[in-house]
Amino acid sequence: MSSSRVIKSFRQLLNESKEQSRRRVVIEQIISAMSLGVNLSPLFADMVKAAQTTDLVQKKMIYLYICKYAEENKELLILSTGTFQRDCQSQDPLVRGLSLRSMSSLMNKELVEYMAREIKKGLMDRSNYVRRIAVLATVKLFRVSPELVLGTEIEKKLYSMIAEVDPYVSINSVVALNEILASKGGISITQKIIIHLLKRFHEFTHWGQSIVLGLVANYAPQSEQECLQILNLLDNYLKSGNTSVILAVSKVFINLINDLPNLRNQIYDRIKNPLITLVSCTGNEMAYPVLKHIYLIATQLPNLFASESSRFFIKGSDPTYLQEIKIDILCEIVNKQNFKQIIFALASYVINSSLNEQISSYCIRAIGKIASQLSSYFDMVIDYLMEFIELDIPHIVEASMIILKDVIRLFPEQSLEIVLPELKRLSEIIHTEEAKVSLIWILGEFGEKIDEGPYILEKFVETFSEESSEKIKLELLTSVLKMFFKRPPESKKMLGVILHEATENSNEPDVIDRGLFYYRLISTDINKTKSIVLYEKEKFTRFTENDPLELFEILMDEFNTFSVVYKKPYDQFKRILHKNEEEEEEEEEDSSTDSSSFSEEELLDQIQQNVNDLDINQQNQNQQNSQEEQEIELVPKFNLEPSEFQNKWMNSSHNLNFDFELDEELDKESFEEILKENNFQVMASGLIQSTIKIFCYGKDISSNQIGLFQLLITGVNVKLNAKGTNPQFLKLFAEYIATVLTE
Amino acid sequence: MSVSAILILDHRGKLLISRDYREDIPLSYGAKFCQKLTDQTNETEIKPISHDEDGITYVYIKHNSINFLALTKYNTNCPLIVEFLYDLVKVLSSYFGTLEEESIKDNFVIIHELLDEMMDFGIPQFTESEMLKQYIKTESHKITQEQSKSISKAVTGNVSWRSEGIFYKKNEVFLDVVENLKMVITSSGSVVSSEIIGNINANIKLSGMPKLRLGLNDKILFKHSNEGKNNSVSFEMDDIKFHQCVKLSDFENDQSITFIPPDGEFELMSYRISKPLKPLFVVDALIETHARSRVEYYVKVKSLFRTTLQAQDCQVVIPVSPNVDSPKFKANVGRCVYKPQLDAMVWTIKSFEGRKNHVLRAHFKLSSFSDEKELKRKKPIYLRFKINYKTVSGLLVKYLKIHEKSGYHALPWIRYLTESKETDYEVRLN
Repeated sequence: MSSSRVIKSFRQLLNESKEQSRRRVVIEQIISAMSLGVNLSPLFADMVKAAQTTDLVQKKMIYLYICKYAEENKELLILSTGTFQRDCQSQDPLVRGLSLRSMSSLMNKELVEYMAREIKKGLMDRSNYVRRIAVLATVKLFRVSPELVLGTEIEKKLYSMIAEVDPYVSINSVVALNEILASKGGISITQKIIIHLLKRFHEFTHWGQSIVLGLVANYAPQSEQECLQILNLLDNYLKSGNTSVILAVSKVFINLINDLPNLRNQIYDRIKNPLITLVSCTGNEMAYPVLKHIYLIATQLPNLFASESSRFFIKGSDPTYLQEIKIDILCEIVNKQNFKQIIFALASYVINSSLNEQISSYCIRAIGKIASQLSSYFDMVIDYLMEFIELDIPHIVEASMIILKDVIRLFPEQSLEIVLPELKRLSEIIHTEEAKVSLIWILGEFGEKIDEGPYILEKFVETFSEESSEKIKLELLTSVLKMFFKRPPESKKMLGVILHEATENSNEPDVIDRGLFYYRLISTDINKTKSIVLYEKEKFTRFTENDPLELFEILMDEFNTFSVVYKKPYDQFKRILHKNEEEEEEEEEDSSTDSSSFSEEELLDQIQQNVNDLDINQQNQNQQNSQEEQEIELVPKFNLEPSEFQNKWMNSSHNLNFDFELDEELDKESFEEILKENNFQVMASGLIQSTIKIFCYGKDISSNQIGLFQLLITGVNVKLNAKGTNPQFLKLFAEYIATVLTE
Repeated sequence: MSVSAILILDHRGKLLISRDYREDIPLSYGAKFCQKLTDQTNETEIKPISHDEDGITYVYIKHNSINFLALTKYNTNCPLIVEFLYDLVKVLSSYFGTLEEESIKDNFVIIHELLDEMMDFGIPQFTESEMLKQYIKTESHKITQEQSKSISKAVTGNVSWRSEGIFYKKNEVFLDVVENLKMVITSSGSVVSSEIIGNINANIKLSGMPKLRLGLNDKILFKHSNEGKNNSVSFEMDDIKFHQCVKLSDFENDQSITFIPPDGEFELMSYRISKPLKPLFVVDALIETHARSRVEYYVKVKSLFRTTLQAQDCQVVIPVSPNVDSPKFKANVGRCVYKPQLDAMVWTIKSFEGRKNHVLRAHFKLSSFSDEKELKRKKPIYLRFKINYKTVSGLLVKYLKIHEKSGYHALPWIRYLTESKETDYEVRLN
């Protein structure tokens, strides 16, 4: 099955379908196939031709098609300009708007002059619907030829249109200017514009409001008073039902605080509750960005949300991404008052089997993080970690041991008191790789402090040859060496065993390598080795994995954008290949049509199916039509003046000759009677030798079609000459006459 | 601010319909994302907002297993795009009733028309379904002078959410006050956390340009934290949000809620109350394991609300160990069934009167390899219920005044409902 077959059948259908309703169905099918990604570009000329319809629905679809394939049919595009221009003159604002919107979307250099002319006209249009479309069309024009917009009357006109009464026109003008002037930093935000927009703020839809707020956020008020005025006015909109408005107002507030540091806490207090409400009141997808924003604010002002910690407790029904960000927030807002509550909640998530493993590990990490922030409670944290390890659930043990190790690194003296006596028991219950590595590290680093330290390590060394994990082997080598320098008498034998095993009986190159390295080190200079292995570690208080503080400042600047969601400044995720973007895009576009993963084969099958269905429908419809029309019913008293008849007879566009035979011979009068009974009107009749000649006519009730007929009857042979405007109909008419007469 | 393209995908990530607004992102990126959706498992859940290495942001939401995806390469107002997708779902649902894959396939022409009017060049235009209906010509449309007049009239009004010339034979207003109670309690009845999310949903069937004024009982007042003092009230809302039609300045001045409503259904306001509440139900469960071969549950549910009220469609979801079989139940009221796929038994009580106790005894056999640790870990019990004629906060509509210049008489209908769904009402066992 190839797409050319699909195109061929579409073309055929398009040309065959004369009735509007049928055409519409065909065009629907074409658009359906197109929006599924099938390349229907070769139909371009046919579609342009079809655009000259008065059916707005068809027009909309055809324009959609033209916009889609304009690029590939540049040479044919000029054909469509006539239609576009004509539609721009239409009486109906919907048609004018549609035409303008579609034409400006073509982004074609050749058409740029037509475009500019129609856009200028559109900006002056009497319908606000057309005007607002024209305003956005200027941006499209700008993308094709900036010089036609920048610094021209269009730019000036746009500025003046901000003051328009219609809120949509006004907002679109702001958007358009902002984009056209993007390289200069966007629309020039003057006090006048801001005051104007804020004054009529309530008129705008929430989309418009979000856009205006975007501007206000970048506006620097000229006085403290002005600043307060803006704050007061926008304060109400924190009660807006729309999330983007609330976040946009928050952004304005945050930006204004820079000028009013003394109001800082008060202002954050104002935005706190609306944000929390959004978390509970919106869908998960929306709660996600809102929580990301709360997280960002919480990193700056941990105490703001501290009393609301229970709002960020996770629910079993939350998707994982919400659970994670809620846990992140809990880590930030933890303080002495809510510490117990938060730790308790986190601990309960760890052991709650209805949450997935990822989350319980995440909670354990969070607990570790909290320990690093609130050092005075580290003992409670360690108790929890120990409890988790005793649960003997692999992923929990794994995560807990890693965190335990980190806590020990942060607070060695205090935590060792608790952990050391437990090490032996731990060594008996843990089985997983990472957990073992952590335990072995602890043993190497601090194992000498307990009597049985070396013996615990020895247990591991005994199974060294059976150990399959390379990580464990490497860690064990290092820890045994450390232990050797701290407790030489008990460790000497074990060191010998492990070095032998590592260098002689191992398969892993890294293990052999490290074994040999240690061996040579010791044999070269044992004292130096000691100083290398047991170097004095610097005390540290913060893990470098934690986020740098500057990041948050940048993110606050990019508040209410994706940056906050990704926790990355825009620079870090925006497209790097801006330079060659266009070329690249073209390439990609090519590949998309070739190897699009919307499985072309499957699609074509489906479309062919649809087309076939359509054919069947069409046949059914035809049958239905002919059935209906076979039961032609004529208007009872339809009269034509002889002159009219003559006129029509001479000027009819279609002519049909039809011969048939009668069952029996009839005379002229009975013919006339039969015809009259069936509501045919006889215009004239006569007898020429043995041939009866009758002129008659009739008008069908349902279709209003008029048929004119000449009958020449010789014996049982009838020659019918029918004239009318519709050939299909004429045929039905003739058949009708034949059935009437033969019966 | 702008969206490059909108795609609608079926539950497996197959494309149903796409609309490219700016032609600045090749649609092959959409296909890439579809693949991701197809490959998605529980562990690799895709976040609703994510970006790829080319800096393209994907915003996606799910509705009835249909995926709505927006692509953009700008760093813009992120909730705006999510909100737009929500509104798109809302508009499509109001057009097709329930929104399913079939309804999208059958109506893609209307969807294209809607996408045309709702967004232009990636900028949201308007998303009120009643307003949109003027632009959508699903029925054959012949260009006539008359229609073009009515259109320009409709959009010139400054009330962008309501068009002029709406007429109803019978003028009516329906208000639904629905409070969703979210509560976590322990089995001893102490409250861990509680929260009410309230909504007032309106269905307006009024002619002309009516002005409405809604009065709530003064038990409920909004907390003015910026004034530093609380307006002496017994019940405070932590937060309140209004539909854009409500005049916020009036509310700020005298707490009155005045508005010119949009036509049809919309959410007039929503609020949140986090002040601690008394629980409506307490649940206690006793679990006894006998010789590791059978387990018995004894569950007691007690209603604490007034006897004048009744809870409807009560469901008590009690988790059981995954390794049980042969369930036997004995309840003094209602019906209980074991749902192995949930690892829970669900006890349904059609109507639960105030100040009543109901008990359930359940008996299961334990399979031989049941895990002792698993038995020890107690999952919470969930309660689901509805209570008609009451808001748990005590909020009441005192009056709804309707004023229209033609002076017609209109009837307001007001209903109250308190409900807890899914996992809203949670009882933690000790």
